[in-house]
Amino acid sequence: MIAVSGGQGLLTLLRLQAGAFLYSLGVRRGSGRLRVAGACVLAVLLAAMAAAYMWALGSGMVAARAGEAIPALAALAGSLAAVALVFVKAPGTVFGCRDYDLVTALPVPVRTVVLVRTAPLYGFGIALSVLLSVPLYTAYFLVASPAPGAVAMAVVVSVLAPLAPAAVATIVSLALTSVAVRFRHAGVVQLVLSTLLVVGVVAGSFAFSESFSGADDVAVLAAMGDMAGALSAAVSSVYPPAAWAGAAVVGGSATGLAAFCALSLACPALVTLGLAARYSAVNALAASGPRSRRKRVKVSAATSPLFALTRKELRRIGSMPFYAMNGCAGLLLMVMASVAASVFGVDALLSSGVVDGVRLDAQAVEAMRAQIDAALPWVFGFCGAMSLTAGPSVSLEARANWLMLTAPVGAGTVLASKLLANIVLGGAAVAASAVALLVGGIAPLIVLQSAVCAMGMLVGFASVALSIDAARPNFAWTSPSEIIKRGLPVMAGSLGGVLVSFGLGFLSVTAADVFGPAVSAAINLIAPAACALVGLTALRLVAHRGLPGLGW
Amino acid sequence: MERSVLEVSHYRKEYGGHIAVRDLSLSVAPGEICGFIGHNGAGKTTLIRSVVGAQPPTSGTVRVCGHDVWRDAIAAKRLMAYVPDNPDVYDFLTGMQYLDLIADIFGVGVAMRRQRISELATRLELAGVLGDPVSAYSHGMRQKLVLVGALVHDPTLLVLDEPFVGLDPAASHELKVILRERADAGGAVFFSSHVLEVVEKLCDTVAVIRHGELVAFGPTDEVRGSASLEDVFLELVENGSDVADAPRV
Repeated sequence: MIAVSGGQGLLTLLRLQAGAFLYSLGVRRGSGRLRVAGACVLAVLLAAMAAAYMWALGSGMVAARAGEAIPALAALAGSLAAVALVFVKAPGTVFGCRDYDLVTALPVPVRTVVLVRTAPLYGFGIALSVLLSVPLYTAYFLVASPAPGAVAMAVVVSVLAPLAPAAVATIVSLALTSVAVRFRHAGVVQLVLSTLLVVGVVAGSFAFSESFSGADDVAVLAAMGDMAGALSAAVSSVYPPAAWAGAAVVGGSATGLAAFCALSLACPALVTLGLAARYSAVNALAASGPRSRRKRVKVSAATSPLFALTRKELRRIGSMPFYAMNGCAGLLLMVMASVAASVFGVDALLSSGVVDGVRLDAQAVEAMRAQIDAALPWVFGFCGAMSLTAGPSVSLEARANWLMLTAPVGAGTVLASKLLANIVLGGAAVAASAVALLVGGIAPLIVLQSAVCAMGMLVGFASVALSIDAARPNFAWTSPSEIIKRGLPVMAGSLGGVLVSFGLGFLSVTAADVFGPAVSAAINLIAPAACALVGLTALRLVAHRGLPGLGW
Repeated sequence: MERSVLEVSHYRKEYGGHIAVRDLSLSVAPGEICGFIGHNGAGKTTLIRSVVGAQPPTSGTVRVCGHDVWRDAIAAKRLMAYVPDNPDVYDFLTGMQYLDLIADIFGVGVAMRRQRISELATRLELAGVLGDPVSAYSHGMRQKLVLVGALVHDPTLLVLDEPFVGLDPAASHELKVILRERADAGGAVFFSSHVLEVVEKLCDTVAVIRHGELVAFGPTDEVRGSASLEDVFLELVENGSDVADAPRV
């Protein structure tokens, strides 16, 4: 039997991972270079936007004399980015893999397999952390007089910051997934559990912060003497190791750096070894299905093909945690934002914290009333444009595409069912949000604009994404993440939706300033409807051409 | 003359510059079971996918009960059912949810679907697992599920691609009985298979394809002659017997 050493196996499997990644981007035997170039341009554009935002945030904090909180904030930002990445990517990549049997049958040590599966996550986490930290530190070091070695420490902290949170997030994600997959509606369960986890972490952090300070923000500022201290304390309460990073960079604390490095290196090592020791059990746990129900089943009431297909799409979303998390995150955010606005009030929310390094007080919020009213609906438009379950839905048919190709229904019905499922979910979230906003005393006209923005952007960009997917579906994917996260339809739809949301939001705010709130309201009602119309027209054209299949 | 249930006329399919099937014509009459045999890559699945409306021909026509599968697609698809070579169905549905979906798409009423699903699932020993998710099914169970789904709307034409692969002996026998029953009831069956013994015993007509060309087509007895179907197949396909010598109706 041929045995492959760990080192050889690592390189071979990493090459395989890279090959799979390129394949998922559409690279096929020399073709698809244009698509890769486009993806690179897109990545650079997004990176530039993120860096610009972080630079503005850092500059704002420095201007507000909160510069010394930057190192802790940078560590927190890198950590959060890594956690988000792991939550999205770990299921299907590290555990619950479709190619588990194939990979583990290779003569390669299991810890090498685990390392190959986790290394890209850590790598991307480090890249994100560096991307977010560099602009912050640059803004800080340009005005602060750093201690000797502070820059080197900042580099070390930026690189190491995501490792421990990513390792812990891998375990938490595994725990959530292994619970969720035991339910028939695993996607819904995963969504609920993740929401509860996020809410729990945020609430717990604030509770801890409150009990720690035992006073409100103003008192904290007074007690701490400066805003930087208050911010550092808040950040450290959310993620204590950020305080060690801050102490290392700001105060040159060798102990802080050592503690941060030890934690950052020990966690991934322990998690990798732990996963390797129990990899078989871990995959079985994450890939297990709902328990069998040996009971008599009945046929359902007859319904129309459109409704039956829509129900099927909703069941698909409900059964796939990864799909539900990606497709419905915007809707969840929308509902949570509405409930928060209802409970605390928009004014209180805006004046409760620091926005881009600037603290808004109640008077400033009141002075910006017209702009806030003009911009608020586009927060909902943004959330709607981020919630495109229809985007990858044709590709998700995969090897079962013969069912829709041979069904006695037109392409329009099949595509409409996919869009309708998206609209049903969006409609439910928008209705809940609207009720929450109305209960919270938000003006009905603003609520109406918010609902129209959310639904218009959702329908418009879901239709665009669905059109792209229907025109050129990728039935040959090996992992759903290829089409749900990295597929062109979702990328084009959501990115386009975000850009248009920002653009129209800016237009609306400008119109409110120049022409008054009536013009702004008109924009907020007409523009989303126009987006929806354009998207539906594109979808209609694709539906008219017919469904694609192999050999078309 | 009785109108054909399936009529393929001058069918041709190209992928890029490669000709997968060239100028193929055949027909299946009501009450007939037609076996479609050929070596791997001969073009069987290519033709079958065009028959069921999953991929268009480069030229030629496919008609089901007179309806052009590409110009009058919905009417043609209503009359037929397809069982693919790989029974890939939606993993996230239970067996019953899948059957309900198919029944809804084909417009089968509740009473009718209840009766047919109950009868077919019992015959194929699937009744006890219809509440389970398809993801928990074995290959053979998925094959049976797709078969039940294909029959739930009582199609006039049943098209199957390698239907016996993955079935246990009992289910395989039951499927043969079901296919014969459908033909006896006036329906038509068109299926591909590598199991020549089954084709020889079950089929009224047989079509043999080699490198995208129909090399023999006609009543099974005539195609087989005094030899076994296996001998004829090997002669026609593997030894490259002259097409002109092959029996043709």
